[in-house]
Amino acid sequence: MKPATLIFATLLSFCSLGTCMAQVASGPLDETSASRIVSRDCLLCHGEEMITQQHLAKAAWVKVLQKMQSWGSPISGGEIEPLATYLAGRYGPDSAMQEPVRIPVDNSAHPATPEGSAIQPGNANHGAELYANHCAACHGSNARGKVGPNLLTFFLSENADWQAVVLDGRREMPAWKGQLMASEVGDIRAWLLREANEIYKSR
Amino acid sequence: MDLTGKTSRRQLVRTGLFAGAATALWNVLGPQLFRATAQSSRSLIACLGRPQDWETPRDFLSTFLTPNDVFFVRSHFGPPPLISGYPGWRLTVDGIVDHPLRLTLEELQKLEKVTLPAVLQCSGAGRSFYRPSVAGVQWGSGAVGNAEWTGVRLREVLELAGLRTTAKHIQLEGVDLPPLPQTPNFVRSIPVERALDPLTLLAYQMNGDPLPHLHGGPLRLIVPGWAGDHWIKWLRSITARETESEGFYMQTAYRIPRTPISPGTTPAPKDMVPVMELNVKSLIAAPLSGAVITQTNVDVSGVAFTGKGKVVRVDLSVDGGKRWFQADLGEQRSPGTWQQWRWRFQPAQAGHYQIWSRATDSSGSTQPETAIWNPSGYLWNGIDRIECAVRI
Repeated sequence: MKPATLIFATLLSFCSLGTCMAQVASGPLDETSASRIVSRDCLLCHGEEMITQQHLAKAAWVKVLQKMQSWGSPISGGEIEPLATYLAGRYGPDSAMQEPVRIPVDNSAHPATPEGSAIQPGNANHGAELYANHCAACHGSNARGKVGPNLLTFFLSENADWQAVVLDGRREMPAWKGQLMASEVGDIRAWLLREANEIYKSR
Repeated sequence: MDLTGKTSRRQLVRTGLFAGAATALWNVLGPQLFRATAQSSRSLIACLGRPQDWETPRDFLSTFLTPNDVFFVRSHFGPPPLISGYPGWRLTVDGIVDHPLRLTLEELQKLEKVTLPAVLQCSGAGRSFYRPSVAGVQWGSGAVGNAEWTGVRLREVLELAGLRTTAKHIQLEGVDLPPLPQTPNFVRSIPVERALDPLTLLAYQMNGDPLPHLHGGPLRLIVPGWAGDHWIKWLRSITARETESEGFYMQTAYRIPRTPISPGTTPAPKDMVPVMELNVKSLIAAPLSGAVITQTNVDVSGVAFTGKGKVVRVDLSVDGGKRWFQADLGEQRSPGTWQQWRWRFQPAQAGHYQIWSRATDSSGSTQPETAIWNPSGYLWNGIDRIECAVRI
């Protein structure tokens, strides 16, 4: 389910933050800088389609970006105006409709009947230590998000993706290959599942 | 879970049992149901891949019950992690009650079991049709489905908890958490009158199967006739209150202007009211847009529903609304469910046709050509249209 047509496919550019800031100061954003900001500040929570399906004028984009900033997006105040200009140019009122992607119902992301993961307490204790040392700085000590997103989500239920993202990294998330073994990544997941079980228990 | 069609056949049997007086209608609609089942590519349309906002393709809106695997999915933050058997899950009921409760699913299932069909439609269904465009998930026509929900009455649970008369609103909260700590929680409330309505359910089954995780398992609220923002998924907490819930998702989101406003303008918050009842709407399920028709008899069919009362007529036009023809309309089997309709189109000549459908409900409301614009693009109910070519 990775939309092929999106500009953000080329997201992992090498634009340093310094370069981005220089462009913010000197005029309109180029695609590389805009993609960099979108990757860091929007795709943290949303799929790319959240942006590419819109048809909004600049004022509306500004409003959306301000709202997302107040909801925890790391976008800086100075980036809102140039990014809104860029997005209104690409995804403005007259932009072309994007053909949405189809998700086959037998896709593993679409479990029609719950099966899910079981809690494994033994591994979870080890996972708790590993989490505190490797993950808590970005995702928060309770795993409910800090600069990195909340981890007590459906993402935990997708084991293959989970392993790949932790070992290989994704966007702002560094690769942990070489520092964590696959089994340790599993232990961290076991702890997170145990934590998630707690949120089911209500207050 | 069977994804190949057994579910649909079972639903066909159920649908047939329901039919009763509408046997004649069943006879004409039956082939439609089978046709949809025969579709090879069962898929959902990802308006947004993550979080999961996936709509039902139009061809799956032709059956009375929409199968679970192609039923649209709406997520604010995405589902919580799926833990086998939900060992930690409890439902708490507290607030202005005499006996706060903490129930397991087994305890809940000992209460009287109620099954009813009802339409679930996202408030934002059809948002992509509004001009000027508004921000948000750009849903087409498929953020809707009709399922048979099984559960217990919220009323019975509230009575068991000893709901006090000072309670005016019932707050509902799910297990799903926002992605970042600054993001507001998805918490909403419904007025106590609606909570005590015998049609308002806490459902643990959908179309006879355990409630799928993507659809809110183990438990979700069912509010027949009301928009999907009230149908809280992964429900874990019910709180009786004197006032409406606070926070973004109750006080800002899911609100529309009290009176129509000029498109593109922003009304003051005090002039906004919550989206509650659905409005009257019809959808054409067959033929699909882009179809090439080579016969002189074309069965046009679809569904129609409304929030309060029932649909009393559906009219079709093939000339841009100059002449209208009344469709055969099935009975409403239960409040808040949809009714199937059918009309035979007999094109006199080859050409390119736009087929329009327009429903009218028992309160006299009828679908407008274009829905009333509102800043968040809720409740689109403009006349439905498909385009097809006729080559006789």
